[in-house]
Amino acid sequence: VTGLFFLIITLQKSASLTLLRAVGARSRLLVRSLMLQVVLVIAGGLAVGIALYTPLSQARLGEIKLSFDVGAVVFWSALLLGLGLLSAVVAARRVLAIDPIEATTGEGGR
Amino acid sequence: VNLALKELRRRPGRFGVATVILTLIAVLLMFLGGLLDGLTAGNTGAIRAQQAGLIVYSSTSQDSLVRSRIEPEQRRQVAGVEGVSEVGELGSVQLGSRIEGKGPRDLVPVVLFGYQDASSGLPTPPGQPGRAWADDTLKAEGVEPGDTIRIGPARSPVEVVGFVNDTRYAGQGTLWASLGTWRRIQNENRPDARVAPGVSQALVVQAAETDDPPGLAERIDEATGGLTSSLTEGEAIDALPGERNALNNTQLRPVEVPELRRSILYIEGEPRWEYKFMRRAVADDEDLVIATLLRVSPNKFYRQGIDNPEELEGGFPTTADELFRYDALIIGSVEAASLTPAQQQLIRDFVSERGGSLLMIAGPNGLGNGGWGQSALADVLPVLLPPTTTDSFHRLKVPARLTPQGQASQVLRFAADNTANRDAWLELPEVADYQVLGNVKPAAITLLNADTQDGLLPLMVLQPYGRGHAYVLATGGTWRWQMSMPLEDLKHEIFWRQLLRAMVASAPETVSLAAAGGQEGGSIALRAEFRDDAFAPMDDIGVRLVASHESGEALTIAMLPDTAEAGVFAGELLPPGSGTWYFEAVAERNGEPVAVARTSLLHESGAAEHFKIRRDTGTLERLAAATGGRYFEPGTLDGVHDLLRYSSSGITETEYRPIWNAPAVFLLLLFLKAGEWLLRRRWSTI
Repeated sequence: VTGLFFLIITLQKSASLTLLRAVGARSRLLVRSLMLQVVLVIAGGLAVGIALYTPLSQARLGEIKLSFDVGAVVFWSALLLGLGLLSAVVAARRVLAIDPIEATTGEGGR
Repeated sequence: VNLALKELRRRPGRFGVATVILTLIAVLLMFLGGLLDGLTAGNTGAIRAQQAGLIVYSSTSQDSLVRSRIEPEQRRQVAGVEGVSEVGELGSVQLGSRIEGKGPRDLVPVVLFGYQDASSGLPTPPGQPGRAWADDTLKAEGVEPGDTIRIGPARSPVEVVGFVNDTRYAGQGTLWASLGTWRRIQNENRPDARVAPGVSQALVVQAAETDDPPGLAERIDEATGGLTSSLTEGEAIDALPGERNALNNTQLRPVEVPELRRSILYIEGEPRWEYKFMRRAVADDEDLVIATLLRVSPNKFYRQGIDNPEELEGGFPTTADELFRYDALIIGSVEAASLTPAQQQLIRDFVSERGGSLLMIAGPNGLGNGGWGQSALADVLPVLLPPTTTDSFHRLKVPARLTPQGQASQVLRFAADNTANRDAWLELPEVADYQVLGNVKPAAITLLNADTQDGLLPLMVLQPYGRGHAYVLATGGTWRWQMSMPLEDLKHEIFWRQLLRAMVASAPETVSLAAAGGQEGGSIALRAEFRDDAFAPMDDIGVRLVASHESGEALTIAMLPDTAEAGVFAGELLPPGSGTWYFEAVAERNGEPVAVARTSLLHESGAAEHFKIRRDTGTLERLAAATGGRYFEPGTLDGVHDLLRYSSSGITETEYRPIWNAPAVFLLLLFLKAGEWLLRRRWSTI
């Protein structure tokens, strides 16, 4: 979901990214910005998710008692973050594919 | 960094959607994880609470606590193994329990454990027998310290002394008692799986600190000569049984509860205790109505329990319409001569034709003393009554004893367990009197005996007669059970309610429809019987039956008259699918409906094998022999390949499966395709 989302965003702003590349912005800067956004969005989602689950975990489902296992929460958070960053690589490849020479000639990224 | 943050600030909506989606995913994942942890904790708490180095089962138990049995000799051998610091016994029994404040049928499933000090995650076992710690989840069922929980069919009492945490087992709340308490409750409630003193289900072994549990497990199993299977705590948790077949967890059966009340006519010759106490015993039973005729002077009767002033106004019924409206008839201490021969013949027809039940109760003027042995009812009765010339009624207190047939009878059951039921009858006070019955007829069944000074004499005898049943109770003194026992003891009420309910339950209605069979592909047999108000067969009618499936599908079935029995019509339905079928048989005369009978049946196709999941070796062997095949045990499958190679059946079956069923081939193809794509990219051909 994260990867697809950031791929769409990258496609949507490909004109802006091409322009940035044309004016001399380095690929590393653009990829770093993208990854930072990924980390912030996932961290935000996880923080709100944990905040919502904490009171929920005190509830009982029939005779089954839900549990708030810190280890499990850390595991799922790390897994989501890792998978999110991994899936964002596709979007990052898109950014890297923007050729500054072609950008100046008006062809932009592929 | 600024670039990323600026974009986030400028377009918060764009990133907000992703954050919300991620929030939902995170909550869902954590919720499912928490649920799984909760389920696991609910199944494994009892094992984890042992905090044991090892748990030792018997080797034949397949590491199942219920199947395992550890003998005292094996316990001694385990305790003697080097590296074992402490050994405790463990036993469990899963039963339904009754909790204070809940209804008698509102059962709560619990697992009662017996344990010793070696179970270091639990407090010391309660010292006094009959006491137990309770898992704290039982608080939700209203259990409090000091409460008494009655466990199993024997209602064995267990007093709760306090709570322990996280000890659920098999998804059920647990009780933790001493081993002695566990053995007593196991033996009281599971007589089929009794445990002898010193025998337990498993051993909880604490290992010396220096020892490694896997090595110790091997040494223990060697020391017992392979009679044990020792597992670490983790292995024991992994070995806990899962749900192998969830299809046999539920079984649906439609139960028809008719709205009609069943009527009983009771004629008594004199006011006496038995009359009063029996009426009182069933007074609260809303399904039974007892209309009574109590003779207060010659030819003068006092009526009770009548529906209207006209009922029984002329005394004992003289017509079939009048008598046959009742489902059962009780005759007390009244002489045969007080009824006309026509009335006696009517009673005989009541049993043989109408299918009603007759109960004759002992009394100074009843049974043999009343001349019933020489009446028109002599054939109906299950005993050959003595003549009136001898006084067969004795006012002597005698105990009632169950016969083997009586032990199996549901009418005389005070407890579900046979032993408890027998004990309950032994504890009953003596009946106030008894009457000598004479010889029991060949088709009769003696349910109770009176233990008299002359030996055992039949006290309660039953026989079928025609379409109905005839009972004889050779005492008029069961009232002593109520008078001599505490008021809260309900055995007297239970006896009379069960007896009278059995009597009216076997009495047929004027119209009836029965559906039977239909299991495993068979057809459903339908049988409709139509009789008029005088219970004469209606043979001038046609019967039309409509079968409606729960889905709404309806079929009309031809019902043909039974040539052997008047008024009976039969048909059959080969059900096209599973589900509940509702049947309605309409009797028509000259095109006009005159009576309707209804019933329903739940038809389940292909469900039977789930309720009998053991391997049926005999059937498989017979099937193999009948079809020219061979039967293989799971351990001897080596010869199957050779057998197939030389099979003369000549059948080759091609099976197509998606490619991911062969993961290695699938990955190879994926790799080749991806490689081709990369090479094309490199060579700029795409």
